[in-house]
Amino acid sequence: MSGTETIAAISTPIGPGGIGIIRLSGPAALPIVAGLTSVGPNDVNTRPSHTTSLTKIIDPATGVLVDEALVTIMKAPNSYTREDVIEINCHSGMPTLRAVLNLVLAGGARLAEPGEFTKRAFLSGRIDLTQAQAVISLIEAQSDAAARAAASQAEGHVSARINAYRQELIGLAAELEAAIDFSDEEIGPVDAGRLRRQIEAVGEGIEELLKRVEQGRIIDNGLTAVIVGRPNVGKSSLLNALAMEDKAIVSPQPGTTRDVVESRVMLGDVPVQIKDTAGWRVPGDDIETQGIIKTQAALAAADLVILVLDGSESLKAEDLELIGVFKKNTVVVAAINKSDLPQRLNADDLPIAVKDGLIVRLSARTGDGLDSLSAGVAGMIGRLKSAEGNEAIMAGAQQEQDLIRAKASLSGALAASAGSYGEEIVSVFVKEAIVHLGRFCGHDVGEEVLSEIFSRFCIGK
Amino acid sequence: MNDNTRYDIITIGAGHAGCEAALAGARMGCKVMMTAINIDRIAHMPCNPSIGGIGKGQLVREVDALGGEMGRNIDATLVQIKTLNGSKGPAVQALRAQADKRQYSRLMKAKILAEPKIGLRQGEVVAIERAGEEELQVRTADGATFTAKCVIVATGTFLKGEMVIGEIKRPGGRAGESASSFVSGALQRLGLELGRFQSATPPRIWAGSIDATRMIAQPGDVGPLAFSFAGAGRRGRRQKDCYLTYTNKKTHKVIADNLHLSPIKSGSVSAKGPRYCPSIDRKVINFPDRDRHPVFVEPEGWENEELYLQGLTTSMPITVQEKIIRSVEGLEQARIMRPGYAVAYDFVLPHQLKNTLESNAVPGLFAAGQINGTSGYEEAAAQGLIAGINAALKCLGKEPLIVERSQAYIGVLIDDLVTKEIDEPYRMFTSRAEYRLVLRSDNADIRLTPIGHRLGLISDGQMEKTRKKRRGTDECLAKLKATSVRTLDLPGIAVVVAASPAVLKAIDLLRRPEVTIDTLAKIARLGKITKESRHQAEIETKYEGYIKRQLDQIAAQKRLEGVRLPSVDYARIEALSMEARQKLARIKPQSLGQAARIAGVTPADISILMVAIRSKTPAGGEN
Repeated sequence: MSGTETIAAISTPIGPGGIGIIRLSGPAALPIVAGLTSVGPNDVNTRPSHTTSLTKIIDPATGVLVDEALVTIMKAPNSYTREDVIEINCHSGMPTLRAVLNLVLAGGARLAEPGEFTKRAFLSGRIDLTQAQAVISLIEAQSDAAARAAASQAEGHVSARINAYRQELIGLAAELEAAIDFSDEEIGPVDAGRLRRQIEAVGEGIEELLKRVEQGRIIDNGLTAVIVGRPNVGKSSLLNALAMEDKAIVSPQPGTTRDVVESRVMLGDVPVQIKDTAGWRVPGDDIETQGIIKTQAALAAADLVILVLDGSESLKAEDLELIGVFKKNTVVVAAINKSDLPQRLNADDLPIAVKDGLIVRLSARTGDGLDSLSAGVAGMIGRLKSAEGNEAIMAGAQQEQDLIRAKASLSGALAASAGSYGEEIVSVFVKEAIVHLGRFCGHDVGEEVLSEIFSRFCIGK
Repeated sequence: MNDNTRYDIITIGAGHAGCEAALAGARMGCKVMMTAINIDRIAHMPCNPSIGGIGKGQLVREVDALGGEMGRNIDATLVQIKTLNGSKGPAVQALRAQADKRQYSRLMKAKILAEPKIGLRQGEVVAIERAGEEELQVRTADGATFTAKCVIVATGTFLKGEMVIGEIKRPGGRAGESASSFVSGALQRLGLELGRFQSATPPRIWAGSIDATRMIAQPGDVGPLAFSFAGAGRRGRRQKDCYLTYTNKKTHKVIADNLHLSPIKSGSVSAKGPRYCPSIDRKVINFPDRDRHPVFVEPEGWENEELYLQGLTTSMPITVQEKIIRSVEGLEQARIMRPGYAVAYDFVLPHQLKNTLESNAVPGLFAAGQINGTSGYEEAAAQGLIAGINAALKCLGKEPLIVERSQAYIGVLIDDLVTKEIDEPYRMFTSRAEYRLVLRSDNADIRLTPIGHRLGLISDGQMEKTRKKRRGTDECLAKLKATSVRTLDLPGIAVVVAASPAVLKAIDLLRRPEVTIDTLAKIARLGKITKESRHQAEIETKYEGYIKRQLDQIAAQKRLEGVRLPSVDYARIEALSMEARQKLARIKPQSLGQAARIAGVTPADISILMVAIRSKTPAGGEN
């Protein structure tokens, strides 16, 4: 059922990177590539499976050398799709990649639809649906942490746990059904207390999984951090130093940054969306007033606050006023800037809320101490990733909904059991939870779920 | 019409399936020949003397609502009737009646004889063959030959029946009756595949030999109860008690000491029996920690003659059976009249049938009842009725009747039979019905009587009664929706609604578990609405939210029902498990929904099928 057509696509994200891979899958993959490469000891037709060789890609129409590429052969059934798969690893940027792809298409391959490679892998029994879901996350993962979580999920740890909950609920449903169908025989009613305790335990387990899904989203999408501080303490300089590009306008004139400027940086192995804000001070004009309102909004939405202080000055009333605006439980990193100048700020004067967090002295200008800031922030984020075997879960929006609904169904079951409702009603809720958990693991999925999954794949995987 | 060898329909067997089949066929205008090995045992009850039960009771109501005979027949001949699961919700409540089994049989025979279009003939069928394009021929051992367009095989446990008591094995269909030796071969020659099942029944004892004072009396319900929608039941009618007693350690020791003599241990019964109806031997083996098992002592009729020992099913040697029985309190002096026995028999693997119960391979050949691997009189009657209706529709050149799972337990039963490969005798449970909250005993008439009426099996009067019930229900619901209730006006429930708005719609009040429709009758002016319609409105209101949840749950399944499966070469879909490929190729499901219900076909397989079907269909091919 794998289809008889051979498909091809560029399988690395389209971007400015120098290297790109073109992947082919299907019965004609070998002959198509053979038509573009020279005959010789490295002929793709005669080489064994799972070998890579430096091969000249030649336009058969003109005889012109298009690229020198690493060509890897994976013969059926030992490939991702269980079909013959060839990967052409080109070296020379997007135009060359396009040229090679066009040659492959001219040779008889069809451009792959989004997700078609994985769809073939799925249809050939190579991967199951949960794994397919994890593959999406893997493709879309922007960081190592996300990739690790997705990889662990692809191995089936999460499904195993959800399946265990599902089995437990199936057991409960069976007890409820027996109490209904065999009430005239030896089976008495289900012990309501025990039933509720079991439902509660599963509910708590799901709750815990949901927290890990939340963590997964943070790892997947990255954290949001906001840089705040008085005017001209070096907020934009710090952002630029972290991002190593001139995203925010930096000038010695206080109050230059009047809007919120965003930049995406990697701190440790976690992507962080950092927002730079206008300086915090008593408004001088309308534009600044608006900037301050935006700062407050950014503070409210941030996972992490980087408070920039000027180390060359003592702590000001405005600094303390700003700290007073922080939400309770805000995770704060104090970056005491300008460490290249004589230091006047005494860290002991900082309020407890800041002192308890991370304090780093650095110089955005010289780059001194930036590493400590990155490492310190990464360390705080690392707490989100928790201990071994308790990784974050990369779940699609649909899957998160499945867990939320399962949790709600179990609450319904508890309420029905506590109220004067019969087993046939409690059973409705328990079965509902079973359906939702089943959907999470790829059981009982409707067609719409399937099409959603496969359409979310990047072309080329 | 004068030719007494040519018929529209021939039924082979006169049990609960055969009787419903013949009556439905004849009442729909067909000429029916009913054959049976022994015409003194029409609608006989060879096992328990009761009809109905949880799941089964719903089936009887549905048979009645469609125009079958079982409900009326048991109402007229019962010795006790009660509601089971009375403390649970209406969806899982069901009636069960103890029958006077002889009266039941005699009354059914009288109805068969009263039907001018049915011919009744004693004889053992020895051959079923194709006769020309559109006809089948049936021959009996006496040399009689009949031809018909449709043949309904409803032979129960008679096919190569073999009865076992201890180490003694002999051919027999059931106690006192010979087996049918030739029908198995005839079906196999027509291309049908057979399996083998086993069933067993407890010993019967003389009613005069028990000490009822040492057992717990189990009376029937006082209220007016009836299976048939056409009847009303009678309050306080004369009934007979059953009795409850228990096995004890002594009983279990007798069994343990003699286990080597039990056919299940010695291996003389190897066919699959029903798990839900275990012998006492099996119970003692499987539950060594239990120090007692219940024994229900049930009368087999008004005459104080034989008692059925529900819970003491065994096919141990007779001497051991006697020891087992006499170890039980109240049964110390019991005298066995008929020993318990096991019976192994051939059955037709029902996946070879369509949802009409007609065979895929042989047009015109239907199978119904225990021959399809089911157990129970109610399951048999339901199938007999559907087979009879569809045979008649075929003879009349009309569209077949397929009852959906969402419509009736009958639909669940038949769909399960033709889809799931059953590996033990099939019995109905409410848990088999995913639409359980909708498929209730109380609304079987509303669900099915219009169908029965259209088929000509339900009288105009009965149909009008059903319409009235529905109209009354709708009227009642409308009044409840229109009535605003000041909670102050409802003393007694004021506490409950204290935290709520002071004015509520009556219908919203009714949704609360502690509010009954009677509380609201006066204020919502329900005086003119019949009790039955009020009750119906109450159930519908209370269940509404949950029914919606249940429907949401099965919405995905329902969509799968709509996805027709084109002729797919399953062997070529490599991602399907080997088992799924084989099962799908064998059962040839009509829809993805049916495919999903096949045992061994996993949800993962269904996902694969979905994608595979779509890959096969060219994209954008729908414009």
